[in-house]
Amino acid sequence: MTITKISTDKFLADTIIFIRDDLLNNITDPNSSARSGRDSKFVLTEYPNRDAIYPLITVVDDNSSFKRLGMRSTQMMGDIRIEIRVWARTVAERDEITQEVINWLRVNQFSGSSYSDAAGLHDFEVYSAVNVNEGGPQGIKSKVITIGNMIILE
Amino acid sequence: MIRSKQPLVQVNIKGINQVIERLRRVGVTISNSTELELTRQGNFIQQEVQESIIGNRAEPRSVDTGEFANSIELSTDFLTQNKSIVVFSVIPYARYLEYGTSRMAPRRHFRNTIARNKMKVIKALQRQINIKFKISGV
Repeated sequence: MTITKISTDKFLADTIIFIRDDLLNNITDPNSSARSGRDSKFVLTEYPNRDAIYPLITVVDDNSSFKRLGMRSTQMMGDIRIEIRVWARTVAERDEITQEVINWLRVNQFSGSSYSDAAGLHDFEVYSAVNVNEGGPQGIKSKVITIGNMIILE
Repeated sequence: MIRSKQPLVQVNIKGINQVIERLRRVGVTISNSTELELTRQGNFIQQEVQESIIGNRAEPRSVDTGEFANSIELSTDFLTQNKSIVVFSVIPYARYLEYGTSRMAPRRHFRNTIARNKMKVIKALQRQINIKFKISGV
């Protein structure tokens, strides 16, 4: 299922799937050879219950709020926050993928084959990018990126 | 079933007077009603985070010894033009509880508290600012 436009009745699911597919198609997977032939994805919409082959990216909705666009209007303007978390084997890998993700989302707003503004995701912002590094040499290094977009519910 | 290591865990939910006294001891003076209201709202968020940690809100509880719940503190910056209040914990494992790890789901005590109470805090501060404008005749 390819999402080209965020629909009003499935705005949360469509937003998550759009961003997931956008990242899956455009962010380089440094460990694609380990993933081939196995039931493991590089970008997911929740932390995997199956094989977790690192690095991987999870895209989850964080918070959303909406305001009416006028008196007695059912149209609303919303701020949807999405948590994109990069899980990596090393700090360098974590930061490289994070930079690639933020840069891609930034440049893919107004041009390209499936840019976010055309899909209905406007006013892209990056609110925070927090490190959460698990201890030990085998510990997973992750970056929790919170992005936001404005959407209109018509 | 997970049991606490101690039979009874004491968590002190800090009230506004305790907070003001503690700020005074570290040399912070509250010089006007806006700063007082900011401190009051900061204390409200501090209490809400503690309530979330001890299991009185939607998130899973994060209490064992009570160390985390009792570690939620407030700091202020009233000296710069953009006055601010920060609610924080210095416990090293706080970020693992908040954001989760590869082995543990996130508890989101801070983020969910902000999401639930952001508009309440904004409205309270707006009311205070409106009162100030009315008093000053603007």
